[in-house]
Amino acid sequence: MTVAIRGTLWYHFATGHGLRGQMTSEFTLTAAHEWIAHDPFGRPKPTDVSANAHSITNDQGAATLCAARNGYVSFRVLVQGAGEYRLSASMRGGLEVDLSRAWYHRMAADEGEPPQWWPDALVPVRGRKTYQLPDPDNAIDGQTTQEFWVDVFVPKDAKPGVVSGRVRLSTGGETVSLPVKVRVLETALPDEPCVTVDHNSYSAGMDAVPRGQLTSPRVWRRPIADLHNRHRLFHEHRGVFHNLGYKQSGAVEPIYGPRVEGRGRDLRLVDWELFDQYHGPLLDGSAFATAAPGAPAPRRAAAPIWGAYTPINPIWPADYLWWGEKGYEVEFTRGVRQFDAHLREKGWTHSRMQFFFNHKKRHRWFEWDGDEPKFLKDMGYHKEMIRMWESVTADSPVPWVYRMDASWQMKNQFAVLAGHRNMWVCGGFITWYPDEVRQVMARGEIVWWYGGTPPIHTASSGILSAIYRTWARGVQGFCAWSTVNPGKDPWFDCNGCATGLLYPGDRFGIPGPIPSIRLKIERNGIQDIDLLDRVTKEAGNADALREDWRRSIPIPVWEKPSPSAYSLPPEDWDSPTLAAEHEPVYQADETLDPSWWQHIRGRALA
Amino acid sequence: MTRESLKTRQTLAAMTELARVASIMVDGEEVLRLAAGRTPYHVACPDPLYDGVDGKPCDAWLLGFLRMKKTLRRLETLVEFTCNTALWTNPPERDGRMALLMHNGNVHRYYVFGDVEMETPPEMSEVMAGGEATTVEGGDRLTVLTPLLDSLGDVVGIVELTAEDPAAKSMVPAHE
Repeated sequence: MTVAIRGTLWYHFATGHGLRGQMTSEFTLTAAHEWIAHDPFGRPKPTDVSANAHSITNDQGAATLCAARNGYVSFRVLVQGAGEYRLSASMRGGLEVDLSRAWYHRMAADEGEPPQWWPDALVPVRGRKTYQLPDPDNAIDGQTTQEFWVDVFVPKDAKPGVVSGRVRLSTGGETVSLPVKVRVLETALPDEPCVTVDHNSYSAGMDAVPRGQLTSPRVWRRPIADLHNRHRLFHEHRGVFHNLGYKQSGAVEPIYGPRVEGRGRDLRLVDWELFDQYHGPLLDGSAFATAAPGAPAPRRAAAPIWGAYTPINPIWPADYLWWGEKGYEVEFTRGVRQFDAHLREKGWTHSRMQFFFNHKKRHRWFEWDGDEPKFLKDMGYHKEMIRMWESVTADSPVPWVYRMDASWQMKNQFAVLAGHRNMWVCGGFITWYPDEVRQVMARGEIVWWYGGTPPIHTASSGILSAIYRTWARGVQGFCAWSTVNPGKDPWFDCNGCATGLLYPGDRFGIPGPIPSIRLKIERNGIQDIDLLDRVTKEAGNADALREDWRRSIPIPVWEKPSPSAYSLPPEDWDSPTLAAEHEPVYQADETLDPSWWQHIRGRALA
Repeated sequence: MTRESLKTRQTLAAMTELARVASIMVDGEEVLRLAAGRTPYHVACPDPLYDGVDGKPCDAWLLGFLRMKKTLRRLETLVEFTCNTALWTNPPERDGRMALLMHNGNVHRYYVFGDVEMETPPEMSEVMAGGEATTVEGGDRLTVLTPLLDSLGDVVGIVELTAEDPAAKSMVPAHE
């Protein structure tokens, strides 16, 4: 069917996915669901193709969406054609629109295999920028399609009802419009998400500093700015960000901890300038009053970060030379007491400060596992560290926690470390211990679990499963273990970016990180869970309703342990023995329909 | 000789003396007992199907490892600059390979994060065969490799001492 409206050709076409588009003589403009990616030739990503209809356009070709206030709703726009064009978007009713162009990542392919290109990095559309198809920068032979991502933000005070808007493409003298209709709900999203979705990372990424300038503010200006901008992006996407500042060796970079001067009874922490520059705006929340470069103005309120790693480790502030002796305890307690005093003096008493050991003995620096202990005998080290730490922080107004990333020995550790201010970040084996997890939470301890991030080429909705599992288990958070390292060449030799949800923006003239489609989908999923959580709690029988959800969503939340786990001690477990993956690698569920989340969204927005 | 290269020579001289002390102080018999449990088996027989499984059951002789780590730490304090240490050995039935047994700090020449085994570099082969210490320069670092001896005086491994070259323009960005 072809109809002419206001001098512009409206071309409705139906694909297997119910897409309808509008076109000029040169271009077609089509709205697509947020969970269906298309390649540069207009073909949907096979892993996104659902047995269920995904159309978001009505019979008139308008994109029709529904959103709670104080939140976002998103969709993709496919521009198809050839030549130069401009794209813009606007909404009425005080709704705000952010338009971003998707970058097509050339996926690494075996020799002789044709390359695949899938969209993920999002480059903000700024001003009246002219684009081209094919995009010369993306350099894809025969490109016919360009995806854009549209975020519509509905402010808290927006009026409920249907609000109109449009996406406009102009080329030469012609303009084509894609109508957009957003049904704004009465309900508003809470300011704070009900689950904490954390994005983890390691170090500031500096391999070397100029000799003699270790503590030069000039040297650290860009790394600190990058870290602040990562925090800003994750915060704005309803998540949090963690960045560990010491190495497996225990070496601490100066923005994460002050310098240790003197030893024994004379130990002092000095030179706080860089630590304060990095941590100050995060611990008082002022970092979130401004946006990351290229990002829209903040919509979430500025607030201190949820929590932060501290630099405390076996060789900082105490020298491991005296571990097990009184000299170590004197150094450790002096250093931790001064660290705590500094936080109190600055008024940084809102964020959970995490005393955490990251080292693993398999890296050969230490004889015991700090992270994911495999051997129960290593718990003696943890208990001794906790004893010393508690002796100087027990009465502090700083909300200190002992963070333990647990996997092999999780069940035993729950018992051995009971009674402390614990924050558990549990590996995949958490799925075996529903009763133990409930008991730990009943003790008032924090429970998160950790896992990997889906690579770009897997189902777009795959990133939502971690959010669902977190909520369905009733635990407080999920930690994606590595999220700001998209690989050596994410643009033209992409490894799937399973360790990167942000990309460097420098390539596009943006002096900071830029977000990804996966991050946007994750944010929208957190919103849905916030609404679902509210509905469930308001119904008054949250546990029973959560159980209903566990039965209706085909994702296992709790599972029976592997038979070997009953017969062998954790010391003898490994992946082949258990026939279960231990490492935090995303496992795609091939049996899951890509539109599985629609069941949750439908209920959330009902 | 420029001031920078003079500093480099002085640093290397101090490291060479430190290496002599290390060869005496580090007990090769004890070093070979550090890996405990199934670790030696997994290092000797890596599983081709499960990359990394050798690391998962890694265990150490707690007291021996701690004592050795303290010894290395003490050795490092004998010089006035940051000089980190590592212990390498040739695992049984793994000709041409060197495995890392322990290290301190993060100034190293050979260790690549996560890889605790590597093909034996020629300079390490030289030390293993000849029993004499040798120096390696380049890559902004200075290294002295010295033999690790057992109770018969046989070379059973290598003590690596590495420091940043004072002539280098950049350095590792961590407090030491």
